[in-house]
Amino acid sequence: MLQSLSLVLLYTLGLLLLLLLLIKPTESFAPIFSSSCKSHSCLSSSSVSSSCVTTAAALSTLSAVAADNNSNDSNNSNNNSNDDDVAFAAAALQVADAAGKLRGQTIVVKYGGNAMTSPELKTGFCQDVAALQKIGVRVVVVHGGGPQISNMLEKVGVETRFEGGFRVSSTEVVEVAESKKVYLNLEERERETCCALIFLFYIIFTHHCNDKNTKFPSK
Amino acid sequence: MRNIFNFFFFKTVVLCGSVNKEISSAICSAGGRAIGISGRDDSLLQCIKQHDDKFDLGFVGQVQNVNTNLLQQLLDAGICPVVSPIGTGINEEKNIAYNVNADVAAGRIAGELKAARVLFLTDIAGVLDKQMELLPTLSVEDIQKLIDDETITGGMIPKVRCN
Repeated sequence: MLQSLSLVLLYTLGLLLLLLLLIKPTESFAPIFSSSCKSHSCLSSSSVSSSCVTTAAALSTLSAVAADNNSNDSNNSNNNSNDDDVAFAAAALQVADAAGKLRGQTIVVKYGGNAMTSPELKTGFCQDVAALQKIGVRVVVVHGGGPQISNMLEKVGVETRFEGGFRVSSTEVVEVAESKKVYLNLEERERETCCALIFLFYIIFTHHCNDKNTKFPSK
Repeated sequence: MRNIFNFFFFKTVVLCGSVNKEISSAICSAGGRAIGISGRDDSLLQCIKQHDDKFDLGFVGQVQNVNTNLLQQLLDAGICPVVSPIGTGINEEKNIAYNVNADVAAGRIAGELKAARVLFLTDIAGVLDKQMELLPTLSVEDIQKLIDDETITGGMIPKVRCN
């Protein structure tokens, strides 16, 4: 009974380790982001599905033209094709106007960590940037990551606080914020350790079976 | 078992650290061209330690110089640079990494590039007054007044100051 129990334990441990190695970063990443998903009123324009309308919204934000009415119009008038065409033409004109003004200009966008908490926000933002790039705007993105860094520091157990809007940064904080290549190398090393552990478990398991002349615990 | 724990820990670090690459790759998959760089690359953000009268902020960098050569070349080539706000030290401090506030970095880079506009994307509508109503426009004098009477606090201070 004890023998079979220990075998089952070893077997499950091995399986667990195998599973750990098989987890891909993207898969474990998605739930982290979706769990902290919030609604962001200021970015709601990015979540409009049609890429054309998104571009219109993004451009009009940039050119400080209030296009809210316009994009609302084009959203509400889906029933009537004529109205739809008129709204589309108006939006296209506005886009062309804004694009003409902005072509060749440089725009710096700071993408805050609070605005990248859900995958939808992120895709919307990236589509907007790509769209601006296509019409010839020179876009520079500077990204934050405050909430992500705070999360990480909390996990590591490093205390962090803000003074006058600035994070008080010890060397650990800077290291986590930068997440240097060192960590990548370390991850590889950990992976190797896990492989070695699985191999070890496998050896113990087979040795155990051979010793007692039993392949699997029957009772 | 400690190894397994560490494995998870470092994995998370990698995920957090790859915010930069995630954004650049997402822009690429949306049909644009982007490259992820850090402020330490090509001495983009050259910093000194930020001194504050009241607190010791540690390795928070104050941006002294911005080397915009790389940014200009990338923009000329039609590539969007995605900058992570980590700065490098100057002269004998070359090896030190400084944590730079992203709002400050965006403001300084925009200034050096003579950008037409700077946009701040975050989860609130903008600068709010005491009654939590949006202030659509602000002058430079207003800003100092609002900071002094603590209407503008916390993370909004670097956003409006950009220095």
